[in-house]
Amino acid sequence: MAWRVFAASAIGSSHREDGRPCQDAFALRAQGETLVAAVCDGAGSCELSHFGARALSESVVRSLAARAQGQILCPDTTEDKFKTLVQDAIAEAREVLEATAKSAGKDLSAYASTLVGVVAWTSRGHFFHVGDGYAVARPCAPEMGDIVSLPENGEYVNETYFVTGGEWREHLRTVCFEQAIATVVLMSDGAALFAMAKGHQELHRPFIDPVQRYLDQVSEAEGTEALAGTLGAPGTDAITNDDKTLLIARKL
Amino acid sequence: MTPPMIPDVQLIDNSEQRTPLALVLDCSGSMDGAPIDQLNQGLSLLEQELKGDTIAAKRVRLLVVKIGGNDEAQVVGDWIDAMEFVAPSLQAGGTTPTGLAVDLALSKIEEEKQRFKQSGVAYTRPWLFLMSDGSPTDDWQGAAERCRQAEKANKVAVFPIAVGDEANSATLGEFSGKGLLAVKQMRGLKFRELFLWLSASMKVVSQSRPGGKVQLPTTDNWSSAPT
Repeated sequence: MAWRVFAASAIGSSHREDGRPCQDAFALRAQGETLVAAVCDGAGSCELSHFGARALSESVVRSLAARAQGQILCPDTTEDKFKTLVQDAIAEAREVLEATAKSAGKDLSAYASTLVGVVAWTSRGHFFHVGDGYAVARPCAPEMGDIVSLPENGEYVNETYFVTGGEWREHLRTVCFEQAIATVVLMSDGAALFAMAKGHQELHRPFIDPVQRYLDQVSEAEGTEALAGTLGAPGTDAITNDDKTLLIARKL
Repeated sequence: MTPPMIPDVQLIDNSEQRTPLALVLDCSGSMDGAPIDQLNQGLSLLEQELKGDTIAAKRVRLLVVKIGGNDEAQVVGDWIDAMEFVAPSLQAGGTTPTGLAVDLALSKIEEEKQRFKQSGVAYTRPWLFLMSDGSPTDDWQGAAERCRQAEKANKVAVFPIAVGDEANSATLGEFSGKGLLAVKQMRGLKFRELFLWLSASMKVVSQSRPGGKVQLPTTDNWSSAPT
């Protein structure tokens, strides 16, 4: 039961117009039945947040994937133990980034980024989350309803928490799911505007159903290209000027 | 070449996000004539500009509070989405109970936030736009204090605008913790430029995402140098 993973980021119109880079990033490892993936959304006002998003997503996924390969992280891992392992992975990622920041004469906050990720096996998994973005697991039995890790914002929707913030441990949240999962979706808040349904309790079916049908018929390379095309379609500019990232893992 | 796209995908905005803007407008007797006409034209311009922006039209929520009459503050209509907003035709006359009007605006803002929370609608920080061409004629100090507190508690962003030479900038400044620094002095009757600026600012704020410091457009073409 292997995972097929499709992921893409599309730059938002505001960044395209200002000549700034896409500040979203993702990283993933799919080995056999183990899926490790993360999406990071760099803060709009921070000059190096695109770098922060890339470094953090890659680093956290790499260390969690190594722990999964070493069986330190496995389907029997408790939620408490999982949270500790994620904290370790984030702490390591922050240390590396702090060293980078120091040698560049910058503050860690210049690399501000949110983080939403997943570690999943055939019939169990965990989401981990700091700040905004969404993670959704769709069970094989659709009547069970989607399992969703919601964003954590301040009172205002344009305020959130970052992995680079001093209080990231307080804002680290995990969600454990224990059923057979058909699809896992991670997204940045730009993509959530059209990929999540109103009320944010499930994926928006008129969006995700055609996407899943299409992805099931094509190769990972073709599917990824079409996903990138869809996220970059002019229709998304009428919804948001923000970067958009979607990572979709299907178990076949 | 157009990149390939997944067929039959519905792309709609499900966010239900709102940016509230309360306009507290001096319509006292001294605004009669050209000022009130231009204020009304400015409101029409705001309507057109917001309706012409797909995202702002859906996200900006407007409330108009009129200052005037016999020491009266009056909500003109109620909170309304920009896409439904029809600019009122305001009449000038009466006194300037600025304190009463600001208290009314603050309580309408809190009510609106409660409604957002109850229905799970995400929102950005409300704006309180306070425009006057004179001095308050009521006991405004308590309201100014409540307004400063609300601003300090990050409940609202306050934008006092002084219109004309008779406007009491010092008093307007009391409604913000930044004092006189917060007050923009309108040059002449640049209502058109003021409302274009406000529309452009609302477009930026309604689009803002976490971590993005909001870069507001410059006020140079309607406001005199920092006051």
